[in-house]
Amino acid sequence: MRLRSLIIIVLGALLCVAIAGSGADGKNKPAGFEVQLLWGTDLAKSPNPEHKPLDPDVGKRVQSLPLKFKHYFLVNRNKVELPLGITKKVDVSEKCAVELKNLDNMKFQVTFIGKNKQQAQRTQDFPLQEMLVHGGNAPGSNAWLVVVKRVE
Amino acid sequence: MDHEKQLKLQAFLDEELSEAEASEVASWLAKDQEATLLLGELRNTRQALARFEAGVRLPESREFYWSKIAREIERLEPAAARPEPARVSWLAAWRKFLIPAGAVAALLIAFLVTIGPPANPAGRVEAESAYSDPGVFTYHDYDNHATLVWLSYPAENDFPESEPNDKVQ
Repeated sequence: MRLRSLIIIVLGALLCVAIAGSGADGKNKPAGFEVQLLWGTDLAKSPNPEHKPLDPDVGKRVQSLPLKFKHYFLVNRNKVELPLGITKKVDVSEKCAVELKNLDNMKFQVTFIGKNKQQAQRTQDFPLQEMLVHGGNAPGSNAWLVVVKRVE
Repeated sequence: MDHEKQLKLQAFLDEELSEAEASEVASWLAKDQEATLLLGELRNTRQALARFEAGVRLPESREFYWSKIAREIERLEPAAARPEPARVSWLAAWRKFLIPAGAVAALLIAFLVTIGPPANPAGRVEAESAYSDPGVFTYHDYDNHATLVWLSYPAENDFPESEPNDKVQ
C-alpha cells in the first residue's frame, strides 16, 4: 500500500516536471513571424506577373476586413525569428519596412516605417496566428497591405 | 366445512352463542371429528396469542434496567479483547493529505503552464502610440484574430506621375 502510494506520488511529480519543462521550452523558443506585402485591387488579375495568389488563411482574413478592394495578391513574403528581447527590421519594399520587438514572447511592438520615417507603432499581444495588417492607398485606386502574422 | 360453520365454531369458543346454539354446536362437535380438530386448533391459537400479548412489566425504570444490561456487557467483555485504536503512522497520515494536494498542485501547474502569463485585463490591444498620421484608423476583428491599421501613407500627392500602378511606395 505504501509502495503504491509512493509510486503514485513519484509519477505525479515526474508528470509535473515534464509539463513544466515542456512549457518552459515553449516560452524560451523564439517567436516566428511572417511578413507579407500584399497588393489590393479591383482587377481580377494583377498587372504584375510576379504577384502570386494569397495563402487561403490570409486571403480569408484579409477579405473579412472592411476594405473596398475585391482582390489581393502576394507581392513578397519574409520570415523572421524573434528571440525574447530582440528587435529585428524586415524590409518589405524599397521604402517600407516593419520593425518587430519581442517584449515577452506574447507582447510585441510593431513599428511600420515608410520612407525612413516611423508611420505607426503598436504594442499588442501576438498569440499564434494573430495577424496585424498595415495598409494604405496606392496609385490607381489600389492599395498596399503589410501583413504581420505570427506563425511560431 | 364452509366459512359459516367455521365462524360458528369461533363464536362457540368465544362463548358468544346462545344456550340453544351452544348445545347444537356441542352435539355437532360430538359427531364431526373435523369440527373438533378445528376447535382445538382455534383454542390453541387463542392461548398462544394470549400469552404473546401478555405485558411484561419492569421492576425498575427503563433507563436503570438498560444501564444494568450495559454494565453487564462491559463486565463480560475482557478489557484485553477490546481493539485498541489503530496506530496511524505519520507517513499514512501525510499520505492522506499529500495525494489530493499533489493532484491539485499538478492540475494547477498544468493549467498555469497552459494559459501562460495573465492576459492584460484592459483587452488584447495594450497600447497604441499616437500616430504621426492624423488620418489613421484601426479596426479589430476578434473573430478572425486580425487587426487593421489603415494609414494615409503615402499621401496621394506623393504618387509620382510615372510610378506604375503596382509599386508600393
